[in-house]
Amino acid sequence: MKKTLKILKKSMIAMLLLIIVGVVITIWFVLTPARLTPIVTNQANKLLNCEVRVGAVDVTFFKTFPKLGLHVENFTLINPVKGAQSDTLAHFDDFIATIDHKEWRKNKSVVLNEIYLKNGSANVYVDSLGNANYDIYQATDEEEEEENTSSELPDLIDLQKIKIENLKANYIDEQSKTKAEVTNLNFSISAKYKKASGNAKIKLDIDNVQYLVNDSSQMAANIDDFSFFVDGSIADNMLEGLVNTEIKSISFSTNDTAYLDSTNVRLNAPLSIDMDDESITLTKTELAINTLEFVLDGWAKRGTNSDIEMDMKLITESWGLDEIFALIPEDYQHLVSEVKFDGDIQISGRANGFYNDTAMPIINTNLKVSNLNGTYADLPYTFANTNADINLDLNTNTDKADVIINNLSTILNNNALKCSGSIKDAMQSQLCDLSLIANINLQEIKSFLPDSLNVEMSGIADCNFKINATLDDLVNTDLNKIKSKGTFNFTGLNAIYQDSIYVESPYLSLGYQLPSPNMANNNAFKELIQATLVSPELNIKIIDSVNMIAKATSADLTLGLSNVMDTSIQPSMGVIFAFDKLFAEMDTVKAEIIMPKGFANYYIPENKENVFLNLSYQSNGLNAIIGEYASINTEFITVLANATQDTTQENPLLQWSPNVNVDFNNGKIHLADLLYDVNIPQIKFDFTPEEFYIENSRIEIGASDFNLKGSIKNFDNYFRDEGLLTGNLDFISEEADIDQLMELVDGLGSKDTTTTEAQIPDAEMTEAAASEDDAEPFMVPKGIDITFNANIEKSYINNSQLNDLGGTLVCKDGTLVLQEMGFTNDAGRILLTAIYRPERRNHLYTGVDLHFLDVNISEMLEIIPELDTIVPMLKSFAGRAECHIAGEMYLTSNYEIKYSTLRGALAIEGKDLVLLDNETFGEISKKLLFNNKTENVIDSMDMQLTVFKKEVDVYPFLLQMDKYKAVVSARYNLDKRYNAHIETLAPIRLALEVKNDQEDPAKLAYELVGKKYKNMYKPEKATAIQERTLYLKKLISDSLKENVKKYDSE
Amino acid sequence: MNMNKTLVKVAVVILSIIGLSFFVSCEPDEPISFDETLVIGKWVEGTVYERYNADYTGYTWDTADDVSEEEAQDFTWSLDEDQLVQIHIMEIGGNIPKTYTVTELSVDYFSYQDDYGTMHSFTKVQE
Repeated sequence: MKKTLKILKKSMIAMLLLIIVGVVITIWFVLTPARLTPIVTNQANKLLNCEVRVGAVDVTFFKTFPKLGLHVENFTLINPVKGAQSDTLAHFDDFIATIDHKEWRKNKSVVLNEIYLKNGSANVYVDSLGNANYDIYQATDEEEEEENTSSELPDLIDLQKIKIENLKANYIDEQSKTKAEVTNLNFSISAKYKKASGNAKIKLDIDNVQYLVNDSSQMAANIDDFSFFVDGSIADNMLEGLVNTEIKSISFSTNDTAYLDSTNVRLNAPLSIDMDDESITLTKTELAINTLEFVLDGWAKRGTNSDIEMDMKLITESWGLDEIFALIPEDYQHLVSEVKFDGDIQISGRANGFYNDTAMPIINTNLKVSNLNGTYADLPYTFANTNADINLDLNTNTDKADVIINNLSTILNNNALKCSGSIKDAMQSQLCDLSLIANINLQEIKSFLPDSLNVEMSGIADCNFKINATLDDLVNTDLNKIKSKGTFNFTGLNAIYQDSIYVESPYLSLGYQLPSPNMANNNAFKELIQATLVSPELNIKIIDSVNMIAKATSADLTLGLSNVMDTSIQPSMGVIFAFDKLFAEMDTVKAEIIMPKGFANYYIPENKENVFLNLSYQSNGLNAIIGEYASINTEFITVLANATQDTTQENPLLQWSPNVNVDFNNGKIHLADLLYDVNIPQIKFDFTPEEFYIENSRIEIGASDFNLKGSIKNFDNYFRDEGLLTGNLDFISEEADIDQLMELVDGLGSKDTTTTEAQIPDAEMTEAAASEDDAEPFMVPKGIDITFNANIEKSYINNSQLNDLGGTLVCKDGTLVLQEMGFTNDAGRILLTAIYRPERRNHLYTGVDLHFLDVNISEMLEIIPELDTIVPMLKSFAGRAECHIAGEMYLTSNYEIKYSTLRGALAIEGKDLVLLDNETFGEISKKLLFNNKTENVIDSMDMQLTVFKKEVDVYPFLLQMDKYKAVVSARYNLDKRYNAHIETLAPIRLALEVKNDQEDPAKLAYELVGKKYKNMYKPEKATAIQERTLYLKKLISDSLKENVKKYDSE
Repeated sequence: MNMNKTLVKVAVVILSIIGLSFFVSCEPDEPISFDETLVIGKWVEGTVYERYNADYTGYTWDTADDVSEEEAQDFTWSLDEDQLVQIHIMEIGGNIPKTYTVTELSVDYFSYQDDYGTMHSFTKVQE
């Protein structure tokens, strides 16, 4: 067996050698260069329209083993063209083509299936007329040309290899002023196509390409190390393959502007092409420019009507911004020279849909930015740690574009900003649904604000707000369509605005929400906006024309607003507030409110036209100081109020018609003008335009306390000048110091509104009034009819105690009437009516009607010490009497008596009075021969006295004392001039005149004079004058007692 | 001695009484009747004004006290022979009579005095 194999092996080697020897003999002896060279030369000259020079042509076997090849040395195409860089169009040192020996043997045809070109050069030239030196093909008949140029692929293509090595070429086109030069071009291609299937490999490497266009605009390119590789196959019209190309370095410039500088470009594209479907599919096609790499993945195909349908994805690697900026031409680097950023970006996208003249595919892109840091010269802050993840969904067919911000965050200086959300329909309605979170260092925010704002701030603000609205709605501030909410939490806030407003807070939270979450619950008005303020401590200081300081502790405010941008309607608002403490200071006014809380609304009710206000207020304490003028301290206060505005009215009360309910506890009011503090342990009242109703109150002033109850009505008509302000109040007191109360009201209501034109004083009156100009008397308001029903258990006046004081105090249309006041004290029962009516500031009517019933004379003088001035002789009597007094006068503005207006009358009746022994009485009794006893008891006395201006007239009255009867009459002036007439009727009849000395009023002169009252008390003998005197006495008494009857009747 | 002194005193008293009785027994002069129509009108004494109306009402005011005529105080008056009675009416209630003896009354002059010798002289204010 081995032997057989050895024999077979040796036989085959021998046969092979025999074949080789046969081929060599054929090549050496049959296909000699001498024979072949002319053939090739002739054939080439037939084909080409230029001179073809061939060094030698021979047949090779070993060089192309196992194929037989044709080797041409120094193959040169000569085509001289004027202006060309050389007569040589092309030259190759070696041209080798392998020959299909089957075709050779069968058909004696030379069919080349491999071509090798080595060490070539080419000089391509096109002159200015477009004549090219490579236009070297012989012209053929048009029919043949058409056949030859058929677009149909032949049934067989078997291009086993075409290879060009080390080709150097240059190209000059005078027409387009283009020059190109290629150095060391190496190219190979092998392809086979048979019966609709095949494969091909193409490889191209070029060491250098230089390209220059020197037209009106210069363009130059330089490519180093270009490689191109294609490996593909086709079957059933499906072409699949890989394209791989790289330019190690490409530079490109136009007009001395470099657009690419040593740029590396790479492509690695696995692709498949369906020629039936006219589609191309890219599978992770990698493209790169320098280090900027991206991948294409998807397909595209020609559809009907020349549409291109595609679904193509693009994704980049993470690109460094510095690398992107490096791609920017140097001439344009200045545009970004001030942009100093580093960081990475990544872009991915997808184009899906049809492309044609009218349609574009839907594009979905995503931009990711990572760790972007840097500065921009025009922005005075640095960006740090900027990250973004943003989608853009674009449909140009419907002009719809959505921007989705999955994340956008950065740190500007020390301010962190984070945004997310979307801008839907960005090409049209631009519906923004955005969320922004920011942590802002307020010291740095000034750089974001215009200088004209002049704001200095420090502190940290944590902001978080969301907005949902179209851009148009935002631009137009259409609050009805904007949805937004946000919070701004300030820590360590310290702000100064315009060097005049200072705001300071360790923590302040501001918030807003649009539309308001309270909209459904607010039955008053359409609450569109809600704003909130929460702060444990908030200090505001305003230093301007008005200096003001406000401090709030534990502030909690919720503000509701209507659409304030709608100028066609009155804005409405509501506020809910609560503070632990509120302090305000403005100039000399300081106020501290403890735990104020409540709410207030200002709105126009539905289907109404007028503004409505309501208020609910409550505080646990109020301490207010108005300089040295006043201080107010309270404990618990509640106020409920509402008001409706009537703009047709001018008076503020009528304009608002307020309804107020007040409950006020433990208040203390100190006014510098008031001698005594006012303490208000409690007051509770309701106020409406119709009625001011004091449900309950307790007020303490000095030594007085009182409880005021009742109502004052008719404010509405009063302020319309259509009626009196009427009221009826119960003034109930356990103790009242009337002197103190009178001191309190001294000067109140001093505005003089009562002088009429007819009362303009003449010169004399002006002079008289001049000294009173500065005085401010109490002016009783006009148009008021208010009755105080007084019931005072104990009251004090002139150090006398009055018990069970009851009666009414009427304030009626400018007049104050103390009406039929009755009380008792140690002096007896006392009835009083008094009138105070300021007719004008310097003309104050004062009237008193006083009745002492069974009174102790000395007590009476204590209650009304002024009586001693008017009736000095009263102090000479002791005991109980009945005394009726009436008097009236006008006072000046400082309450001095206008004596010309003084009128008065007094009637006193007494029995068993004691005439007190004194020096005067002693002198009188001595003159009239009285027995001066230890106690001189007067049996009865009936005295009338009148006061007219400064004249006091004591009408003759009868004194019966023991066995004596005497009549006394007198005249004295209030300037202390006395003139008394004392006339005894029994037991002897004498008359004595007592006068005081003009020079020394205290010195009395006594003189016996003629009798005047001889028969006065004998009606049958009395003279007419005496009768008239008695009549006038009765007239005086009766007119005074008339008032008592009124008391009794009531 | 004491007896003598007592007698002297008694004599003085008797003489005084006799003297006084004589003095007292003197009757006053017959009163003069004045025409009351002459009283009617506006009179002035310094800064004091009095107006007498025909219906026996009147009023008075003193401009030195910054009082105008519109603010004057009311009285009623009567003139019987030479006895002028003014009854000043208090608004609060009560009457203050003032009686005077007219000493002179003419078209443009009016004077009266009270029992204590206080004299008032008025001149007519032409209106």
